[in-house]
Amino acid sequence: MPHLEQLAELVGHEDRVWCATWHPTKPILATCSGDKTVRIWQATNAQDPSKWQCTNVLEGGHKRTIRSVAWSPDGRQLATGSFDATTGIWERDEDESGDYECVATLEGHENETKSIAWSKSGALLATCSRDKSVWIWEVEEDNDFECLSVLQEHTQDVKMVAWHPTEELLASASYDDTIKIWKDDDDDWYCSDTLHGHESTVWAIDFAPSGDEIVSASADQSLKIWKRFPPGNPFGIVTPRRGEPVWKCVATVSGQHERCIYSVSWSKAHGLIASAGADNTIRLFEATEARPEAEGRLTPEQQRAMNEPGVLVETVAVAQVKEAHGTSDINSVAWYPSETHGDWLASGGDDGSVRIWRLVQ
Amino acid sequence: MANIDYEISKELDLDALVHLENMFVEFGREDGLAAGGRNGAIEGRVMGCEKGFELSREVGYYAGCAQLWKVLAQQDPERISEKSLKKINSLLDLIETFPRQNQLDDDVVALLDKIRGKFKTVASALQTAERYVDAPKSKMFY
Repeated sequence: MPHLEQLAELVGHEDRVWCATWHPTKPILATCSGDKTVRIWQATNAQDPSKWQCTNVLEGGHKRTIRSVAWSPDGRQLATGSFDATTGIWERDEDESGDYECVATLEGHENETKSIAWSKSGALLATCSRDKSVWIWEVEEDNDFECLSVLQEHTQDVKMVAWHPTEELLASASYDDTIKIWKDDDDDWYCSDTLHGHESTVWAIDFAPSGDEIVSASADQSLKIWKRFPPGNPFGIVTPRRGEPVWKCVATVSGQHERCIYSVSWSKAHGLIASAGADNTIRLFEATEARPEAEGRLTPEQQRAMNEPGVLVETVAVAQVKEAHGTSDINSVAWYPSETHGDWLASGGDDGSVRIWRLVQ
Repeated sequence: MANIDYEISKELDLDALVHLENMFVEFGREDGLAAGGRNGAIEGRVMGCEKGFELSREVGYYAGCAQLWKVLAQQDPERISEKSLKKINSLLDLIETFPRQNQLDDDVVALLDKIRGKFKTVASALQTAERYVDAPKSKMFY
């Protein structure tokens, strides 16, 4: 039976941990907290993965909670999104001190910034906020960031933004129960599709390693998997806007989580989906193609008639850890981004601790 | 005695008697509906004027800022880059499409959101924190 075993518990933050994110190439973890700091944790012993050390504390950059932190794709910079409505860009000093300093502050949001994300190329940064808008910034030289677009189409608080693993395609999740897909036409950004289906706030989203699917986590206690259907797809799904693919729900995981789900992560190493939230449990799922006799599978005629693909993906619960952070809500789960330590999962919770787990098959 | 022709109902009009109370309720209701309709139309017109004014005030503000910035950009191309000027023109184009007459669909709000977004993008490019500030609510209302 596969299960998750706890490798380490990292203490140091003085308030709830909102987000944990892995460095793109090294065994380094960045976490941010209500204590207005970011902590950098490093594995100190290659043979013993239970040994971790906090190597840096990034403080003084924000006046309020830091809600989101993300490494740039080249691992050289960190972006922090804060409730003080700004986004900070941090770089490590090249000299001996190895301290991080804030090299830029992006302003513009009217209130709390909820999430930030770098595109795969590192050329773009997306930020979103309670002011219902998504901002797209272009990274220029000399730590200059130019705002390309302010997208105001969600009707409520935008909780999270996530980029496609390879394309310059952005997805955003909101308190308005929808997920929006954004693309650009020569720096003119627009909403390419709106995904309806969740019955409550969509708290988190993550792209599948292929980029053709998205998993979403919601306050309605379910996870949904959405698939992209390009024009002329074999399922007969209509793509009304010329050349624009359409995203449809192909699976719903319900009856598993007993409260809101706050975070979801789709592993690039082994494809397992990790989710966690207010029921204090980390759950792992495997997504596979649905068997022909699976419930909700539609015939080609039905697919065309209803303009829905039906259930194309089946999910199986693989493992779970109850009370992973004791009686505290879990705010963030993140798989290690590559095969090197693909079995590592990081989590951050309301108890102020960060935990590193290993998947044991 | 001459034959006076008038109609005397041979049957007792029980219906009218039974509905005596309801009848007045009905009359009252009809009067209310008529008065409500008249007042509602007036209120609607007032609200329409107020809303139209609010929307236009905001769009006019953005137009004013954009026009000024355009002139400044043309006078000082060092300070305000070509790219920023492009954004300012794009904002002015959007404002041009804002309807000057009553529209019956709500694309107006979506367009206003686009204009607001574009304005913020331009403000960010010019490194100014300029923002539209709503006028204080009128003390008199209906």
